[in-house]
Amino acid sequence: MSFGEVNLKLLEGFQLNCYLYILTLLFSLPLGLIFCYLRMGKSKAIMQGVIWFLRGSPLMIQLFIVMYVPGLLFNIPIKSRFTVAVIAFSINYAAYFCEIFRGGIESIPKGQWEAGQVLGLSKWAIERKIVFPQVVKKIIPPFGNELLTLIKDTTLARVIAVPEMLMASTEFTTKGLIWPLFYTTVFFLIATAFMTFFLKWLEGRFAYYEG
Amino acid sequence: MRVSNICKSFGGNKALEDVSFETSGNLAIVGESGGGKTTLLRILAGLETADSGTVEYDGKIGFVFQDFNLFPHMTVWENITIAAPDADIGLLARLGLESKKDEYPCNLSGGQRQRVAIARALALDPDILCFDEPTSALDPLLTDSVAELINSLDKICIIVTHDMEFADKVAKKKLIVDARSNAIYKRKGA
Ligand SMILES: Nc1ncnc2c1ncn2[C@@H]1O[C@H](COP(=O)(O)OP(=O)(O)OP(=O)(O)O)[C@@H](O)[C@H]1O
Ligand SMILES: [Mg+2]
Repeated sequence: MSFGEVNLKLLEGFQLNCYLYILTLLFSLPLGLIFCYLRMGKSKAIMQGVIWFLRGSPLMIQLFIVMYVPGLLFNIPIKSRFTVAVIAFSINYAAYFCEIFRGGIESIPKGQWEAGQVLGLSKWAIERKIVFPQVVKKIIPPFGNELLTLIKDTTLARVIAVPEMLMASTEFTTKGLIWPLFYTTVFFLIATAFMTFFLKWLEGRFAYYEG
Repeated sequence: MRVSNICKSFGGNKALEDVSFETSGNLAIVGESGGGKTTLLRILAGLETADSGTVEYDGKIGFVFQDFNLFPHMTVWENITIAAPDADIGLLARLGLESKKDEYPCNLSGGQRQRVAIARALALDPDILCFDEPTSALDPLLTDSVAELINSLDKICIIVTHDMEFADKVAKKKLIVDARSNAIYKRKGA
């Protein structure tokens, strides 16, 4: 098997990693906001439990739960393995994003809300114009960590037989070809390098003020 | 402004007990630490609700915080215009901030930050302006210029301070809020 052929096969798998990455972000960000809203509101106790479970148990087991539980309990099995992965990843990452958002919001001094209040701004205007922009700056570093971790976490989808890149590489291993397994690292290093540059750029965009 | 029988406690702690006063000019609120000065000012401005009692006044009320609470992600001018889009640019010159219009608060000195906070409150053209410890975050040398600035404002200023000398400079009338008895005395009736 030539170098080119191996690359082609691995890239095919890597496509799935990329789709899983993008879809997970697409769903987990708004879901994380909803979690955060509930966590900071009336459903605090329930959300604490949910977040404890999502962050405290292995993502691998959560993948199996999403794969088997809907079929076993409600007789509505999810057909596509890839869909299972997107659902499990999105819910799991929403828990992390929830806590990052909450940390960001709680780090904004109470005086900022009060200053808006005495200026006669509406609650919505305060959140949107005063709190939100400051939260974004505060959460870039922890949020960036999750963005990097998720790139690598996508390989976990192989445990429910989503043919992502790492799974594709192990197929070579069974044929006696070991190096593609290690070679996959290059793809992740390139992807994380791009992400790191992006995060640096983003931090730079918010460097115009301290606080 | 007329304030009658304000009571406020936090948990079991009485911060204010039966506070009443009336003023049509500047008023300094003095008293020892923990006496309830900040709490009283916050009640006047509607940032805190009293357990009982009433606050009556005509017009609008503004508030200058002890640590200013400027919005760090906005320039001086954005801080001023966020709530007052039609603010007069002359306000900056009046407060010696004309060269700082597009600076962020982190690049300003303490005195300049305070003037931005005052400009932000003035832009809404309040009738009453509350100051919490306006001298505490500043170089003592600036105290006089703050007093001058407060006296130049054509507003009823309510000033919380622990500096008696400063209180004399900015207000003819003083209100003493005492922690133990929470009694109020009027001095130098004006
Ligand atoms: N949000 C709060 N929760 C609980 N207790 C509070 C709160 N705000 C004030 N207190 C209490 O009320 C009392 C009066 O506090 P306040 O800040 O009004 O005092 P102060 O006269 O402004 O003191 P200082 O001169 O030190 O600023 C204090 O005993 C304080 O512990
Ligand atoms: Mg105080």
